[in-house]
Amino acid sequence: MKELRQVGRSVTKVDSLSLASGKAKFTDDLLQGDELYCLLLESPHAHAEILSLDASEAEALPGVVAVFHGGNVPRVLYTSAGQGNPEPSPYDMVLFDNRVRFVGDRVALVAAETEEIAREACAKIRVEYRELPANFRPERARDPQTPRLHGDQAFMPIEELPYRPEENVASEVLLTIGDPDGAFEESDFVEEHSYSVQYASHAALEPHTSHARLDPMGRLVIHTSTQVPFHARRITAKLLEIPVATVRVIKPRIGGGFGGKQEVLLEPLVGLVTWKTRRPARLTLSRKEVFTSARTRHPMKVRLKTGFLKDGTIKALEMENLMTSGAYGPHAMTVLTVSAWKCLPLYNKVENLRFTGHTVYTNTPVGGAYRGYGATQSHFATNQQLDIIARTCGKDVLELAKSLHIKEGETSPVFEALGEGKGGVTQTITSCKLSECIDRGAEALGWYEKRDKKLRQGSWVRGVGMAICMQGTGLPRVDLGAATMKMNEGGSFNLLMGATDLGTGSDTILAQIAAEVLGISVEDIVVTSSDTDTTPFDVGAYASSTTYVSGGAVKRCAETVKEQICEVAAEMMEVPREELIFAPGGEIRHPGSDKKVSFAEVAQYTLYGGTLQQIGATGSFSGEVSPPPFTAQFADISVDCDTGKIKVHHLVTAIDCGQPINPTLAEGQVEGAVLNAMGYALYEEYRFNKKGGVTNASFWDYKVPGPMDAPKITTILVDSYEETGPYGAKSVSEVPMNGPAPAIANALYDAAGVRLYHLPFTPEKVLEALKKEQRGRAS
Amino acid sequence: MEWFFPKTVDEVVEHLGKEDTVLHGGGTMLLRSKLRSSGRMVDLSGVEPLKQVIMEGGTTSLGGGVTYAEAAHRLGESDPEHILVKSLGGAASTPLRNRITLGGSIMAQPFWSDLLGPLMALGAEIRLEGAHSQVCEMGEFLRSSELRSGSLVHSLRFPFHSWRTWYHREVRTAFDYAAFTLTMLYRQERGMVKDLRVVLTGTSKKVERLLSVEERLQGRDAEERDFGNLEALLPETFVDRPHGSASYLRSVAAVALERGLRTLMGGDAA
Amino acid sequence: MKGSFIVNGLPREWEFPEDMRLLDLLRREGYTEVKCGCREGMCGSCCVLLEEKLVNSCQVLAASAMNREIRTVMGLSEGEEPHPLETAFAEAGAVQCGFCTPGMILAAYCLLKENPDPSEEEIRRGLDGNYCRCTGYVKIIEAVQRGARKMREKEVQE
Repeated sequence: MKELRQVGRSVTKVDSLSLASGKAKFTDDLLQGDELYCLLLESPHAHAEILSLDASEAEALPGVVAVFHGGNVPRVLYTSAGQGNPEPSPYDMVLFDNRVRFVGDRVALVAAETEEIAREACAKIRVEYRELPANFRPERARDPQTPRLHGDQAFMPIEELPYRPEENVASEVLLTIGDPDGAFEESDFVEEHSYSVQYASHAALEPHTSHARLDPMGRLVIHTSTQVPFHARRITAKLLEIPVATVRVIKPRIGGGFGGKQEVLLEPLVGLVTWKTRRPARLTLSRKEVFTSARTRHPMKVRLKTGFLKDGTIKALEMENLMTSGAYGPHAMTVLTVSAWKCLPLYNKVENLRFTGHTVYTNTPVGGAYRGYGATQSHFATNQQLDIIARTCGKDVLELAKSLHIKEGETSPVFEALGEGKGGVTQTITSCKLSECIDRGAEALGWYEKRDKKLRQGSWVRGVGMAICMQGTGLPRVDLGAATMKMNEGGSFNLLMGATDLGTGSDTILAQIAAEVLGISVEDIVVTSSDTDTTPFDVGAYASSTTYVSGGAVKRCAETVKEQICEVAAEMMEVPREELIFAPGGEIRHPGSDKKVSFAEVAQYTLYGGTLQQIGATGSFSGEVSPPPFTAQFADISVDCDTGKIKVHHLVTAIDCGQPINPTLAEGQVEGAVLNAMGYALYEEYRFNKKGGVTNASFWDYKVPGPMDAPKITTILVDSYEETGPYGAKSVSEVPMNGPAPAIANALYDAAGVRLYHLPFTPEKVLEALKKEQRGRAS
Repeated sequence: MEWFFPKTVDEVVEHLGKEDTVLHGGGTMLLRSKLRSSGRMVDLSGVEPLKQVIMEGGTTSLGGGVTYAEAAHRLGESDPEHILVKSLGGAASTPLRNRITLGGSIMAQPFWSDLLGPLMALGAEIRLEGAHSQVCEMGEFLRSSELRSGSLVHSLRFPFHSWRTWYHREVRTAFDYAAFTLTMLYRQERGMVKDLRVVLTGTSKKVERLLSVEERLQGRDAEERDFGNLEALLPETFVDRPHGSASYLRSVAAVALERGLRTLMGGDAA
Repeated sequence: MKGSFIVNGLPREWEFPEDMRLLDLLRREGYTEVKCGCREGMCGSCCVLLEEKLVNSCQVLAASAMNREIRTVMGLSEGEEPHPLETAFAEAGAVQCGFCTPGMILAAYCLLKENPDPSEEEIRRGLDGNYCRCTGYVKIIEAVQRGARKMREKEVQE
């Protein structure tokens, strides 16, 4: 393989210094000061009909420019999910409905000259509600007497996808392979457990925010903190009933997303205000609103039943997932699908498998995309079950994991059976270094010195646990990425990509790919991204697609540009094209004659001197497969048997992400995911009052890990190469979310002999389990 | 709202005599509650006498305008084990410790305060100016809502003693308000428990001195490690918090109590 | 009300509402490097130096900061060169989305002024009021150590 010069180097992120210095601009930093201040009025009720809404007093206030609500905004059914068109999510929402379905749901929008006036106006909107019975429990959602959240109008735009709002079922995924019931009969052991993963908030530091204005040509220009600028453009145009060409969406720097901004929440609102009032408008969610009224992790109950033999072979696996959609259904089908699709293939040797999944409506905050996207929830269950199986059979869980995970050259019927909206694809694993990940991770943790040892220090007892995980890399035949390059005098290039950099560093790594193709350095490339007018289409940052799909597009684009340069160079040097080679530093050489030209000379020749043309191209890419990245993740913890407190000493991740384009940035993705995972394993949760309102919608009581809480985190990028990915790359950002929570659960069992099935592992829960276990042993 | 920037205590007192006066120390408590749009905001940061830290004649005196960070720093210079260094030095976060003032905390008395417990244990006295110009005991001040109205916390003082100290803050993550705090001050003489003060905060009583615990241990052999059933000595005044249920918090407080006693007692130091 | 402030070394005269927070005033006047994440004094994105002390600008009423020295991250470097901490953060890969970064750098700056060679534990404590959701803090701590070295070297040179 040719030696890489740019790819595989930890190039400093192109925007690092501008961000560190505070110069780089985020959405709110681009406000011009003339925008109308927009404020949402939100529902205090979990479920109610809006009998009447009188905004006259609010409208009469001096300084109030407009009040929008169900009475004056057209009802256009849509989904806020940032997905391709048609979205595989139910169209069950309108901008302002005559019904509210959770505490925090939208009722009206005020646009005023100042914040103060907007607040005063909001308080003057008179709403008459008729409260309806509300249901907060997913297991009750389908009961006949449970209130239905969505009536006759909501529908699923892709007809084949199951959608039964009359049952409060937002999605259903069913899959059976082989004969699970028969296989359970033939098993030596059957273990069945119910697990649950809770509501969580992405807690990106920058709240959701957007602003809009009309440009001099009367087009609607929206700056927004989004992961999906092109979907935002399309959906905004649709809701305002204006042509897509009228709308421009620009993503500046974003302060984190993690999936929470793969949603079209505020753009249609500021768009509406600006379009109707002809004035610029801004809307920023408060931190409280981000918790209650944006999107969350989908809570999920996972019932997992495994039938296995004495030697650890799993004969049958039955997984039943009950996912809480909340009041609306964005990503209701896709997250549910992923909980099977990006988890079960890991156990491809299981010949008998049943997956039953339902997503149900409840009168609670709305789930959306959140890093891991369903796989996180399933892996929490499968990895604990794996630990149980190993212990039951008296096997080393590491050896067991190595024996049963999917290997290179293998496939799983689950790949073909399930897809996100379209059918699945058959795929064979072309790269998998998971066994090596397991070995290297174990070594880094000091696994064998601690496993089963229950090392004590006072009231603290120590344990270690492991998890194996997979995810996907883009959505095959669904995700499209594109890139455009053009050559400038001097030999530099503009690289225009729709791809969305959330801080992940995609601007940088995509430039590295282009630089690698052309033999130049990242400094010679000027990156522009995420402007729907100037950059080509890209679905956006989700499904772990950017490196692979957008990277694939960049590679194709750069290769086309390289070809063009080669042709021109041949013409300039009057030699055959085939005899030319590209040398590092932007040079084309003819070895046979010592002739050479630089990129700068080629640019001069094409722009001014010789055969006039603009060297440039657009490349598109959509994957045929979604090659999974793999992780083996380890936790070394101690638990205080007197208080139930868990102290995490060390979290190790060994990852196969193919060839990392930029090792430092890849590590950064792992480290962030791992700490986030520890957060939802130990502290993060939504607390509700009896009326369905969130009581801890603030960092005061929604605890995220701070610098003093972070354990030692080790990342090992295992050598791997994925032939279908640009320079061998796969994805890296989502998969490390999936392992730490089950690894901690397994470590807890190793330490103290208690197994907790329900997140988060608060000290009180742990202590209760410890005491119960003690009482059990005593009797 | 109108702002005033007095330079002397007398000026502050004059403001306190007027209606609608709001004292602004670091502002953090004010910003947690709804700011009134009317009102006379009296900023105390320019009143130098409120920022004094005086350690002389066997008494330590801290001005009401001293921040948590300043107090912990100054006290820590001469005694890194000082109870206020442990409690205030770890309270909230670095930037918040630079704003929260002792006076502000004493006036607002939030149940999570890291200041009240140690002050009770130290036997601190509060010097008030304004409507109730007097020096009163910490406990007395906490019991009386009347003393708070129209008052300025000029300073607090406590006698200087060399204590062994122990502090526990019941938190979920490091940057968190406490569900309860436990302050323990201890002195030993000739291998016997000479003086023990235990103060619990965060219960429904806000601040409680655990006299029954103190009585159990007073005068005992410092090497004696059997403390009996400490949990039974704890009050039933714990309340449910997001950190845990009342019964959980109570049982953890018992553990913390025992650990504190074990850490403090025995050994050579007088 | 009208008031004078000294921001990044320059005197400013501003008119503002009595109950305006320092965060909002600074941002209104173009200091957009000061970010708003929560308005509760929890996340640390809004950190500035007020008389060289690290504070959450969302928890400071502008009026109470009048006539005082305020510094944002842009006031750290002297001249056109980035401050060694900024370079250290960039080089260490400690900047992902960058929203927490200005506040983090100011917190690191304050820590290193007091303690030029801090232990890892001391670094964590010095940054205890600054959340990051992207990095897991791993490279942030490395960046502070790196920045500390750079600053010590600079001291030696000067």
